Amino acid sequence: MTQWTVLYRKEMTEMMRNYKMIWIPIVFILLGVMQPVSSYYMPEILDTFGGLPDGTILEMPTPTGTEVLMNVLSNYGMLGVLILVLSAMGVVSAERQSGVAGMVMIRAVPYSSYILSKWAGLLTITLISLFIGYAAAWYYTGLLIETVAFERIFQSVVIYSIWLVFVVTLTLLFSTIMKGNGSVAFVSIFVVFAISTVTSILGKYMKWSPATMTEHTGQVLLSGELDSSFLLAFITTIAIIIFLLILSIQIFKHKELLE
Amino acid sequence: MNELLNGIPWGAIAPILVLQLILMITAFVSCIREENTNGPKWLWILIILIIQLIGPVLYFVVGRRND
Amino acid sequence: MALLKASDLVKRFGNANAVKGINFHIEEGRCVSLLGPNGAGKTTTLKMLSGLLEPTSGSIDFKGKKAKDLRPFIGYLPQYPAFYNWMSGKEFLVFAGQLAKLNRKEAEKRSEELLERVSLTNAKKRKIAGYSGGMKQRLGLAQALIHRPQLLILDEPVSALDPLGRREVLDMMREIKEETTILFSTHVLHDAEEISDDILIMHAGEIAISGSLESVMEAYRQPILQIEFESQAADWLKSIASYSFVSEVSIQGNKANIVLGDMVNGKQTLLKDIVDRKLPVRKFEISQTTLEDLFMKVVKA
Ligand SMILES: Nc1ncnc2c1ncn2[C@@H]1O[C@H](COP(=O)(O)OP(=O)(O)OP(=O)(O)O)[C@@H](O)[C@H]1O
Ligand SMILES: [Mg+2]
Repeated sequence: MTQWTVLYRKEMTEMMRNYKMIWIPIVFILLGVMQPVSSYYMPEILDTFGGLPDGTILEMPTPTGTEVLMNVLSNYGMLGVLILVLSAMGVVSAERQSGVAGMVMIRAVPYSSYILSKWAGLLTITLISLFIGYAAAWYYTGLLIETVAFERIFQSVVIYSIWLVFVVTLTLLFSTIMKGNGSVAFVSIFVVFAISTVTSILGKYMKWSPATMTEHTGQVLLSGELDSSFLLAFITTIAIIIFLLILSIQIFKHKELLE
Repeated sequence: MNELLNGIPWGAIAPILVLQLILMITAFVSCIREENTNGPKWLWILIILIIQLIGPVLYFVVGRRND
Repeated sequence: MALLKASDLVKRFGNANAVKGINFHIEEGRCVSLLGPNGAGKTTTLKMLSGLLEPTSGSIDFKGKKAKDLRPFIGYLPQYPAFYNWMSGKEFLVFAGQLAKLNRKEAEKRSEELLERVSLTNAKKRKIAGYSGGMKQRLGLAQALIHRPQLLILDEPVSALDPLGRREVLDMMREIKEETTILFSTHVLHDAEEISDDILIMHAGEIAISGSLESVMEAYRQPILQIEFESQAADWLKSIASYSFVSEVSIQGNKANIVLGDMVNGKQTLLKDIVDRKLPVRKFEISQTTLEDLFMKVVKA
């Protein structure tokens, strides 16, 4: 077994023992499922508890299936990102703080294996949570509202996953740079939202931005077609992710690991 | 009221309730087994049991010590 | 042949010179202690040897060859060992063994052996979070040995332990030294005297004294006169410094250590002095300087 495998398995065991493998997917499922459920029942709920005068006709068009799923993704974009960043913030920093990172690096472990095993662990939890949660959302949307074509679902979730991978890779970088868990989370979230905001304001000039992945996701859901600028954004995002990983490895190499 | 209860498609709602319950139980078990939580343990147990969904998540994110 | 040889090893942190170009070598099969006061540069030196810290300049040879990465040959116990507290002791050892490229079976077997050896067999399934300081230190020793290293480096293995724990770890080290070369740092001189073959005394980033324990003791050993009074006798003690055979007087309360150039003559004269003046003497003893005296001398110089 390679050192990377040993480290990756340790990451997975750790996520089982600290229940991350359970609670994060469940939260993603709940976030995904509540959207179609509340859309479906909203008129009824308003009807029963809203205290509207008799005879009022509710002009609340039930949203389409794709609209519901877009709302699901926007929930993931806010709460999902928040949860992922908060649960990933200590991935390197906590081990550096406790000194156990040094205990690992005493064994001739390549710096890249250490960082990449962390990254793979983050990808695993992120992708599992996103796929399961989104599949549940899709199922409930089909059950309660209308069926959305599987290809669209599949394409959209794959594109969306690139954005979340970018987010956790960024968190990994800050967790390597900084020691305090709180500051890692704060800076990561700040940067993620700054990138999103700048991208949506300066859309014309930011066609390469990783944050456009969320727009491309919506596009695919609505029309089933990919925008022509997708390829550019895809390539730059992958390049940025690789760059962030190399940067993390280099920074980790130069950190003092045992105090 | 009765009408409303009958109207609820339990087949769709039940899994959600079950998942919430699992989440709560996981957080509860984790909290009980944790040696020192950030902040008083009894408070976390209350939060986990009373506030649906948010309570357990809050506990996992800030209540547990990460080590 | 020297197992390990350090040449002109320098480590600078910004402007501060933590290690200032030290040279030394470690012979195979020896137990070497690295002595020095706080901040002498012991940890920095050990970290450079174990590859955790890049030397600013200088080189390290292992078995006569320039070493690039010594980590596979070295077992290292840091000054403050840390563990994954959610693992059990055995799990951590197996994990460490696998990282050191043992296969799962070997790692399991070796872990059991070492747990036995450091008397943690009963606690092997318990979470490390619940281990005491002494247990963690012993687990740290076990993880350092997991891959049968050729050189075991221990950074202050006993400093944080109570007398009982210290005894246990020292006894283990005595056993280990039969089969592995050991380099350990300490500022407990008694421990160094007890188990090491060679000593290196470091002070302010430099090696002040090195050699085998006997030869160092031999070379620096001086006869010394220890006098203890029932009450203060500072006046007289200060006055004797003017005798030509007295080379050094150090006074601590009612006690004094006097280094004599000429023991035969000196002790006669001083004893006569004490009797003549009717000084309330309690103890008058001739002995040798200890490692501690040597250490104090180096550090204060
Ligand atoms: N990362 C660092 N940055 C700056 N200075 C450092 C660093 N590490 C060590 N030093 C300095 O280098 C010197 C030697 O430190 P070192 O830890 O090697 O001493 P030591 O002999 O192990 O002391 P102790 O007995 O307290 O463990 C000290 O003056 C220390 O302040
Ligand atoms: Mg030290």
